[in-house]
Amino acid sequence: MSIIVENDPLDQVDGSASFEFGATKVMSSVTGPIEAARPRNELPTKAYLDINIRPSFGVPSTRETLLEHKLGQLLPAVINLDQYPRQTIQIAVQILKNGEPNDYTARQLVAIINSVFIALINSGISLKSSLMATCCSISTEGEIRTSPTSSELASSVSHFVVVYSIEDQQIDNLLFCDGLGTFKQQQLFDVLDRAASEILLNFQQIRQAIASHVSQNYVWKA
Amino acid sequence: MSQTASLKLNRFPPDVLARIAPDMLLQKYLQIGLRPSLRKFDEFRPVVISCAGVGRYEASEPNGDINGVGSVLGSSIVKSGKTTAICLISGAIVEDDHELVNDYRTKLEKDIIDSDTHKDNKNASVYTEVEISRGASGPPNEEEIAVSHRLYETIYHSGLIERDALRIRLGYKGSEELEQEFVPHTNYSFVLYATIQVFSRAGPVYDLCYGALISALRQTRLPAVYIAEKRTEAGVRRVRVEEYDLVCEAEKNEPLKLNENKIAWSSTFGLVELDRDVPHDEDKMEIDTDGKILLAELEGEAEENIDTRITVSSNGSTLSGLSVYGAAGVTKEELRKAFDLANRRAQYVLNSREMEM
Amino acid sequence: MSIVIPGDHFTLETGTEVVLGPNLQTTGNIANPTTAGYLVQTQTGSSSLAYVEADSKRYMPAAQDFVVGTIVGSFGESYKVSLANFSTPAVLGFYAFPNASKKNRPRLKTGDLVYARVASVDPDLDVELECFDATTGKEGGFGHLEGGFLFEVRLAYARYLLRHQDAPTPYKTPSNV
Repeated sequence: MSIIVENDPLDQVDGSASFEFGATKVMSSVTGPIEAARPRNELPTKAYLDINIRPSFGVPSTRETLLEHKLGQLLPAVINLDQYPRQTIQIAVQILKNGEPNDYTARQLVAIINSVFIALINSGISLKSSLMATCCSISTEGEIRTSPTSSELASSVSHFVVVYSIEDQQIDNLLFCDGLGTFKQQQLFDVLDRAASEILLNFQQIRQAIASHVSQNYVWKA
Repeated sequence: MSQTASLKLNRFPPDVLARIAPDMLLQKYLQIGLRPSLRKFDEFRPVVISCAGVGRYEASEPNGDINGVGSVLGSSIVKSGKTTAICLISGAIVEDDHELVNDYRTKLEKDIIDSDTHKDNKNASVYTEVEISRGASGPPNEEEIAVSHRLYETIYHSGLIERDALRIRLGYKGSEELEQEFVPHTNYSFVLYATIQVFSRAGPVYDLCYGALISALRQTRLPAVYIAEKRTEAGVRRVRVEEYDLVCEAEKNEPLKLNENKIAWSSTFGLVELDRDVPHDEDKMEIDTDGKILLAELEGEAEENIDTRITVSSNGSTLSGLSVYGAAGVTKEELRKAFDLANRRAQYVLNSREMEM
Repeated sequence: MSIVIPGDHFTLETGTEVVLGPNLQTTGNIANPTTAGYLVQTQTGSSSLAYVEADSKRYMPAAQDFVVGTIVGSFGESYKVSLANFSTPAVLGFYAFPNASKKNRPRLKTGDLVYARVASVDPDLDVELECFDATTGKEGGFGHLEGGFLFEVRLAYARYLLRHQDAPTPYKTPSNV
């Protein structure tokens, strides 16, 4: 999968990134830690995540709310939320290109997770580990495809979004897995293995993008 | 100047400790091999599935007459522990735009425009609205929306309902075949809506909502639809003006066709690590494990605090609709254990007599 | 210097005294960077220093930092000072100025700029600022800033300016920094 990452394209936020793979493109921004806008969002022991996802066309619907919910389930696993008590971390995501049929959100979720991770790195917010997401589909013949295209997704019997944490350049923990459609237990384990090797391979590109952005910020170090 | 501070030992009843230190309470219970809900680690709550009897084609009267009125096409009540979920299925009729897409006249162009994105999808779903009663009214919160949409997506992608099952075959009241020239040019389909209300929740509600929805769909009966013609006239320049009503029969109906092998039951598990740092009594330690403990069907404040979760639907052998997340990470062994339990649970619930109703 | 990202663990030398700088988390003698940046490890005498030099835009207060803030209001006996837009304001006491007394204290208006030192940082409390030198108790160049312009720069560049007298700048840094 060819990945295009743009670091800090937005000026007014603390960290931002766009992530593009195949026909899917997503732009994410992170602002924070900032003062809680509403008293009820002030959590006494940790930061509150204010996540907003906007679709590529139309107004946000329950589809986007579910995506926000999933992102909210994943992110506490990587952000040191307890370092910012009573603060808010705002995450705004704009989907630029769907790249998949309307009833699917797998490719978009992958791009959202990856772009938010890079935006979090750029914002300097304290993270526990690195992570990367990828998606797989199982065709009617039982063949596993990584980063399936729109038509491959539409003809698949099941599809998955898999997120692994990466420590010391190795695959570490399974942080998140979302599967829709029908599948056998063994098929899922095969998908996890394929996703892990895919992530290990492609994370090099993300790492490269982050490293080149860091050195760009320190031009005088040369 | 010296000050002496005295620390007083405080004793809290379990429900208070569950609120102020849920992780501590959970660890205390786990040490003695129990859960705060007093169940075993892999023990599920019994579930009772029954018919709500409010549907249009359900018999609520003792004499067996069907209701014949109302818009509810199927219903169910699912009870588990003290939590109750009520699901009502209603429907509406829409013009089938899907047919238009497959029309050979538009197909040619359509193929060129988005041959890549449009695939003929034969699945349908049910638009779900989940309401978790919490003593206050207001717009649905994030959890309710997320559960609703997840139900929609899971049903859609599992292929439980085929689009064909919702297509309306129009007839005349007299049950004879409709003459070809009277068949309207547009096709019609049912859309299904589900309203699920959850009362006195005590833990994640997705499983119960899924169960209620599946049970209600199994009960759902679609009305026979007839044309009651109002007017057909030949207008100027051979334009035929048609006006007709679609009438849903009060008595004649047929059950909604589901893909029986796709009927599944959902189970949620929590994954928690035994914390050796929490003070414990060596003599009373009942369990001896270094791995993480899998808890079936979380219940109560202390257990809801567990943030590593596995949710999976199973029809007894095949899985569908999986959601795994958690900071601690989940290993394959843990997944395998959860899947085995989910399979067994699904076999038990789906084959139980209640499910047949 | 190598670029590290979160998850790139490295082992701290045992036996010596290790001073941990920003952007590091430790469990035992294993350190984990919390963001992407240059890993700096230096040895001075018997103690070593480790930190991750990372650039960002939002300033997170750290004790003994020198900061420029905007007065955004006052409550009780202190000013509220904004160090970064939308962040929780820091607190600058009315009497946190050299030789300040009830009658004789600087009167600052909303919108005024102050040059101050971060006195204390605790995630559970407000950040406190002071406008006098910690060792001498004298003015030390702190206080109300008048005239001139305020430029927003990235934090890495701000730190670079503070440490390099001869850094190429469009304006002069305060002489005693």
